[in-house]
Amino acid sequence: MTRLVQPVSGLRPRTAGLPGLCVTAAAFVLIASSAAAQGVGDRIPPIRLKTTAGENGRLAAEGGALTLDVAGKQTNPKVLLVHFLQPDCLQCEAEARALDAMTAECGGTGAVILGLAHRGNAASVAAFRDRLKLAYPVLLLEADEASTKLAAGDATRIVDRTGVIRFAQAGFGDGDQRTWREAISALLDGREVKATAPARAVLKAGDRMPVIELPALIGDGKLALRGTEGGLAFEDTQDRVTRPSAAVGFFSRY
Amino acid sequence: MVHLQKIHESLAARGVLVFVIAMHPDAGEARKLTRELGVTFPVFQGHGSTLGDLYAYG
Repeated sequence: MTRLVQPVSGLRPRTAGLPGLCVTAAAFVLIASSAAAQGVGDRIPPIRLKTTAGENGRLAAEGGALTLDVAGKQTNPKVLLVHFLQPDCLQCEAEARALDAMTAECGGTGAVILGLAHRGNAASVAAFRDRLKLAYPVLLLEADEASTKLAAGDATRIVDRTGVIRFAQAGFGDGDQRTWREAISALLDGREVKATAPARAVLKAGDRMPVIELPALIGDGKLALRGTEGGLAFEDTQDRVTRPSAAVGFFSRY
Repeated sequence: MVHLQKIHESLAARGVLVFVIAMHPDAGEARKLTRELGVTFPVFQGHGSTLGDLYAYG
C-alpha cells in the first residue's frame, strides 16, 4: 500500500459529534459544523498552537514554504492534512480513527497529518489522543482571528507545500479516506488536486425537512417521518400514523 | 441518548416525537447499546443510507 503520511518527527503522538436535527412542525435545523471562511485556493493564515504539555507552536506559510514549528522543532511538510476537531465530538473521533489508519500507511513521503483542537483544554485533548492511541500529533489551536477563519466544528483542510489550501471539507463520512488519499497523492506527485469534498447537505431554518424513511433499528419494518404542509407525520413499523406536534432528532454514532 | 430519553419521557405526552438516526457501523452493536441505555423512542437505522451520507456529519 502506498505510504502517504508521516508523523511529525520529534513530537509525541497527540490525540481527536454528531449533527443533531431539531424538528419543529414542518421545518428542521441541522446543527452541524459551519463552513469555515477559508477554503480551497486560500493561503493558510499563520496560526498559533500549543502542545498538551504547554509548549508553543506555530503553523505558517512564509517565504513560499509551509512551516510547522512545535516546541522548537521545525518541519516543512510537502503536504499537510489538518483536522480541526473538538475532543468531545464523536464525529471528530471517527475521523481521527480514520486518519490514524492513514498515518501508518503514509510514512516517509513528506506528508503530515495534524490534529488541531479548537475546543477543550490540554487535559481533554490529551485524554482524547491517548484514548484513541493516535500516532499523529494533536495540538491545541490558540483562539484568535486567524484560527476562527479555519476552525469550525469538524473540518479538514489539505494544504500544499507552499501553504495553499487545496482541499477542504466539513464533517466526516465513511469513505472520505479515499478522497484524502487522492488529494495527498496528487500533491505529492505535483499534480492538480481533482478530488472534491463529498457532497453534504446543509439545512437552514425554514427549509422543509427531508423525508426520513429507514428500517427500524429494533424490530422489523420501516419507520418514516415526513414533513408535509399539514404537519409532521410519523409512521411506525405497524404502519400506524401519528402526527407529532414537534420532533427532536439526532444522528448518533453512540 | 440518555438525555434524549429524558426529553422523550417529559414531552411525549405533549406530542413531541424524539428520534435518533443510528449511524453506528455495526447494527447489532447499536441495538445492544440502545437496549442497554433503555431507549424507548424510535430509532432509525441510518448507517449506509443516502440520508446519513448527506446529513450525518459534524
